[in-house]
Formats: sequence, C-alpha cells, structure tokens
Amino acid sequence: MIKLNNISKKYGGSSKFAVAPVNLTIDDGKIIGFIGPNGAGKSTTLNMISGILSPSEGDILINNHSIIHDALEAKMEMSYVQDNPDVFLKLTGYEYLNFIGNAYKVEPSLLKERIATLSKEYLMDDKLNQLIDSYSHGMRQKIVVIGALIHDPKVLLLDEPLTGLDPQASRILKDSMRDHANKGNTVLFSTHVLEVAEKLCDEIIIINQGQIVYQGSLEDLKAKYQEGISLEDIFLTIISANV
Amino acid sequence: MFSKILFNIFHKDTQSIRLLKTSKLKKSLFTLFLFVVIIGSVCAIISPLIIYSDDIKKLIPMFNLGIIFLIIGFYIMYTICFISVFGYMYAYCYLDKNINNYLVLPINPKTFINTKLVFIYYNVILICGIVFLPFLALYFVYGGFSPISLLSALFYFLTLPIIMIYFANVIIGTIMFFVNKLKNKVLAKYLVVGLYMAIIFAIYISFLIITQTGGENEDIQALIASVTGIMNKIKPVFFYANLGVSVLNHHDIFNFIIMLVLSIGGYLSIIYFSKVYYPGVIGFNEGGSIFKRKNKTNVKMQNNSMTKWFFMKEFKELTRNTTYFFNTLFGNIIVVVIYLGIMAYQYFINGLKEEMASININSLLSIPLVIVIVISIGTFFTLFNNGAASSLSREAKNIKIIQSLPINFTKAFFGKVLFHFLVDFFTLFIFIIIAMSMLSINITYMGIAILTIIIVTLATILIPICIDLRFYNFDWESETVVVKRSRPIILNMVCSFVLMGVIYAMSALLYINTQDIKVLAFSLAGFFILLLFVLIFVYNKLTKRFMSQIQEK
Repeated sequence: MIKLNNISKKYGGSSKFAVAPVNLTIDDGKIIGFIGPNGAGKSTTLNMISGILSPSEGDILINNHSIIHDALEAKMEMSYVQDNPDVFLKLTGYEYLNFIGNAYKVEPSLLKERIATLSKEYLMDDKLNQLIDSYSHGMRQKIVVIGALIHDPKVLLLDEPLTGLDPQASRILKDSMRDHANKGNTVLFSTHVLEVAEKLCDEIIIINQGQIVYQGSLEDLKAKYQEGISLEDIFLTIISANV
Repeated sequence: MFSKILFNIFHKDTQSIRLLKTSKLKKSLFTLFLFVVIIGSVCAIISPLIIYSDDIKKLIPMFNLGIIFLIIGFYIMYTICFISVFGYMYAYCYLDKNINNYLVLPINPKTFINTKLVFIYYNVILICGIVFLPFLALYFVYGGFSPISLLSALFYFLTLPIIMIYFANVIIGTIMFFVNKLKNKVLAKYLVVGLYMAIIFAIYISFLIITQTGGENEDIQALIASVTGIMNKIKPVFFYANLGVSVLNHHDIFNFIIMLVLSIGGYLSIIYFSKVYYPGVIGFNEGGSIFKRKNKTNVKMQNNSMTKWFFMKEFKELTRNTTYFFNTLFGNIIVVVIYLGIMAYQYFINGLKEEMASININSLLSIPLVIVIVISIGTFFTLFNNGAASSLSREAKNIKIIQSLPINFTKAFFGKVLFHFLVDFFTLFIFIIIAMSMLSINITYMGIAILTIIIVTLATILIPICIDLRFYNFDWESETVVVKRSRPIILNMVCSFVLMGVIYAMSALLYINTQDIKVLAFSLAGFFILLLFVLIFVYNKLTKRFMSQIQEK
C-alpha cells in the first residue's frame, strides 16, 4: 500500500509547486495508471514515492514504512523502473541482476532461480552473458524490469515502462504487471498511452500542472461523461478545463 | 556552407569544454585565470632549478644555462605532444559517439577531418603551452632575448603539433583502415594501445641505450658533459626538437626550411588521412569481441557487500570502456610497463645487479631522505587522476536507480574510493619497492617508504574525489566529456598543478634556508598528514551534502 500524506514539491527557491499538496492512498492488488501531459508532475511524484526526491512537505508511507524516516525499510518493499533504461552499461545482464539482488538481500540460490524464471519469461535467458551496452533499447528495458521484479516487491513503480518495447515485449510486461497485482501487490505506472491505461488499469490518477485532478476507476470517470466518449476525449476535456 | 558546418563542429567541441555556466566574458576570464594559475604552478614546480641555477652553472661552466632550460623545455614538450596527439586522435576521430551524427550528413571527409584536427591542434597547443612557455621564459632570462629567438621558438611551438598529428594520421589511420576489415572494435582497441605503448617504450629504451653508450662516467660533471653527444645520437627520435634547438640557438636557416617543409608535409597528410578515414571509421562500432562470451547458464551468484560491488563495478567500467580506460588506468599501466622494462634492462642486461653488490647504498640513505624521495615521486604519479575525478559524475545515468535501492550510498561509494586508492597505491608501490629491492635497501627504509606511500596516496586520491563530490557533472552525453573535459576534471588538473607547485617550491625554499633534510622531510610529512585529516573531514561533509542535495534536485 502507498500512502501520500499531504506531500508537495517545490524545486529550488521556486514558490511554484511542481506537485501541489496531495493526499492519496493506493491499495494493494491494483494496477494504477498515472496519466497527465508532459511536465504535469508524474515523474516528480514517482521520484518522491521511490525516495529519489525528498518532498518539500509531507510524508510517504510504503507498507507503513516512511520513505523519509525509514528509507531503507521502505525501499526494501518496492522497486522502481526509471524512464531511461541506459543504466550500468558496462555490466553483463547477470552482473546487473546479481548486483540488484544483493542490494535487496535476496539469497543467492533464490536469486539464481528467479533470474532463470524471469529471464525465460522475458526471452532474455540467452542474452544475460552479454554487456548491457550491446543490448537494444527494448532489451535494456526488459533487463531493468527483470531487475525490478527480482525480489518480488510489494510495490512496483514504473515510469513510462512501455516506451520503446516491441509488441511482444510490451505484452509480456503488461501480463507481468497484471500477475504481480493479482498476487496482492501494488503496481503504479506512468504513461502517455491512454489506450494502455484504459485496457490495463484498475484505477487511474490524472495529474495536471502538479495537481491531482482525478483518482478512481475508469468506469466511474466514464459515467460522468456522455456514453461512448473515449478516454482520450475525457482526458483532453479534463486537462483543458484545468488549464 | 561547409565553413558553417566546420564552424559548428568546432564550436560544439569547444562548447563542451564548459567550465561554468557564466557569460562568455566571465568564461574567458576564468579560462585565462586557470591558464595563469597552471603556468604559475609549473613555474613553482621548476623553481628548484631557478633557485639552484648558480650551483648548476658552477657545476657545468661550459653550458649556457639558458640552453639547458631550452633543451629541457623542447624535449618535455616533444614527449607531451607525442603522447597527447595520439590520445586525442584516437578519442576524437574514432571513439567520439557524435561521429555517427556527422557521418549521416553530406560532409566531405576532408572538411570533417580538418575540423577535428584543428580542434586537436588547439588542445595540444594549450597543453604544450602550459609546460613549454615557462621554460622558454627561463631561456630568455638566462640565455638572453632576441626577436629572432622568440620567432624561432614560437615557430617550433606552433609547428611541432602539426608534425605529431602527421605521425598520428599515418599510423592510426592505417591501423584503423585495416582493423575495420576485421570488424572488431575490441581488437582495434588492443592493436592501437599495443602500438602506442610499443612506440613510447621504444623511445625510452632507445634513449636509455644511447645514454649508456657514452662511456663510463665517473662523476656528474662528465655525465652532463656527454649530453651534447647524446643529443646528437638521439636525433632520429627527437629530430624535430633538435631542429628547433638548432634554429633557435644558431639561427640556422637550413634547418628552419626543413622544419617548414615538414610542417607543410604534415598538413598534407590530411589528404592521405581523408582517404582512409571514412572506410576506417564506418562500421567501427559494429564489431564484435575477440573474446566471445560463452553463454553460461550455470552462473554462480555472489553475495557481496555494496562496497565490494561498487569496487568491482569501477574496475569493470574502467576496463571495459575504451574511452574510460585510455583516460584513467592506461596511464598507470604504461608507466608501470615502461618502468619495469627499464628496470629489467638495467638489472639483467646492463649489469646493475653486479654494480649494486659493490655499493652499500643503505649508508647513503636516511629516513628523512626516503620520505622526501617517496613524496616527490608519489605526488608526481598520483595526482591528475581523471578516474577518481569522475567517479561520481560517471554515475549520472545510474544515479536514480542507485537512489531507489535500499543501500547506504556513502558505504557503496567508498568502494570506488578504495579502488582508486589501491590502483595508485600499487602503481607507486611497484615503482618504489621494486627499485628498493633491486638496490638491496633495508627493511626499515622499505617500511617507511610504504607508510609514506599510503599517506601520500590517500591524500592525493581524496582531492579528486572531493572535487567530484562538490562539483559533480551529471549533464553529459559523451563519455569523452565526463572523463576528459568536464568541470571536476579541469578543476582537479588545476589543483594537481597547484599542489605540485606548492610542494616543489616549499621543498626548494625549506632546503635552501635550512640545509637540513630532516626539516624538509618532517615538514613535507606533516603537511601531508594535515592535508589528509582535512580531506577526510571534507569528504565526510561532502558525501552528506551530496545526498541531501541530490534529493532536492
């Protein structure tokens, strides 16, 4: 479970909120889509939840562990997939996964088992001896996702995870996110692709200019508008109304 | 249109040497300030030569002191120019990731190469100027000034890099042309590095052999007296430096014409290079590895601490990335290899072993002298550490993932500090302890030497680490920029020059005033111990500062 208690973010000496004060609770067992236009505050919010950025005010609880006061315990409960998968390029796939597994204190035997399962699932099992530098964008994205799933986190955060993935890899990741949520875990991801949000998410959060303008199920959102209207039209209506 | 493209490429390259985000005037003034600080530091480093100039003059009355300074300046510039041109050529013309962006444009190879070479020339002139200009000033002070001498010196200074670029053009261009046929960039890396090391090694060994064919020298005066003979013998190696000395000293018009012709010939090499460059560079990034990685399925998972992981990661990153390798570990390796080669030659072939048996060198040494020698050599080899000065900046793309992991970043980062400490420690250890072993120096002196090496290395490694923690640069795309031209690297270079200048000038002044090696040794040791404590305090503060600052951005 993720709980945002009145968190906000202002950068540097700016008086303007990058993310205005937010109170939010995200329950277990759901996939939540975080949608909004460019610069709306999606990545900033995800970065605050993952402990990369500290909020200017408020606190964030990950399964009742504060990301500010109890950071290491909170981080043990979650995984974060950043928008740019060009990381640790001079390590091989195995070395990277071993490193991530060690960071999350996964037992070597269990780690080996999980690497075997996940790499097979993501069609990466014959690529793990190669340097990440030699991977394509999609392969890099897959190795980062495998790394994020390696300790079976209670909370999975993903920033634009489907960008650059081919249809097959995209399908594997979406299925994986659904399986993870079905096991009672929380999956929160940001996306620009409204079709994905529509098909995959149990709930969506719409953010615009640093303010949460909607949180709830898609059905509830659609019920507020004319029958047959697409999510894209609803999204554009909400965003333009909020400008 | 081409001139515009040419300007844009050059402008982009020079723009990447961003020091501070300030106005153009401020930036230029700051660059000028750095240049003056470095030249001042070089002057301080060579200050012992100035302080003891009267003694040197008495020792070798047949030599004009100005000529000695000139020869030293010419030869040092020659060596620096030779090494840096090779490095720049390879880095800018083959390893630069932006090359692919230019290859898709309809640019004539000659235009592209001209631009790159002008930029290399500009860089080499800057580096050589830092070392050469103070020596030239000394020549004019002690040897007398004349406008023709000034013009001749400037001619040498401006044309030497062209000659070096000519060599680099022909050698690297030819290798890359053939290497590309193999479609293997790893093999290319090893071939170019191997050739590069072989040439430098050959130059130093040939210098060594020639200096030892001058006969058995009983005293230092006779040894120095043979310098002229040696200079003549090594003409093939340092021919251009000798031409420069001749033109400057004797106003030799014939040698001047030879230099002019060579310079023009050097420029014309671009025509050759442009023919082999594109076939050489296209497909360079497509190659595989000569060491095929087996697809192991039974991989053993290791349970390491984060400190150990970051230690190993630093090692793998610096050895698996050509750009990083060339700018970090390569210097240590080349120094150790050349040194071991020279020592082996001296010991086994040149009869040092037998000579040492008849000399009791321990009686000539003392603990203070060992400390002074180790500190003088140690600072020289451990400063200018680009690897340590970019240890944090190189993590730019990984930093978000690292922040999101449940790890103590300070402990993990210590793995990197430890790696750079051990690399420098073992370089220095090999350098000093092998020499001591060969000279049968007793165990007490060795123990003192090792202790001094540890203190010096710790202090000199914490300087670039602290600079990078304070002025880290996460805003880079090209690996060449982060490891060669970013703000922490430039600041570290300036600090290294300043520290060397302070130590060498302090040593000269202390010794001339006290004539007591003990005072000098304990002052230097005290300075380094104090510096170490200050740096440990600053390091702890900066790691905490970085952690809080990075979470605010």
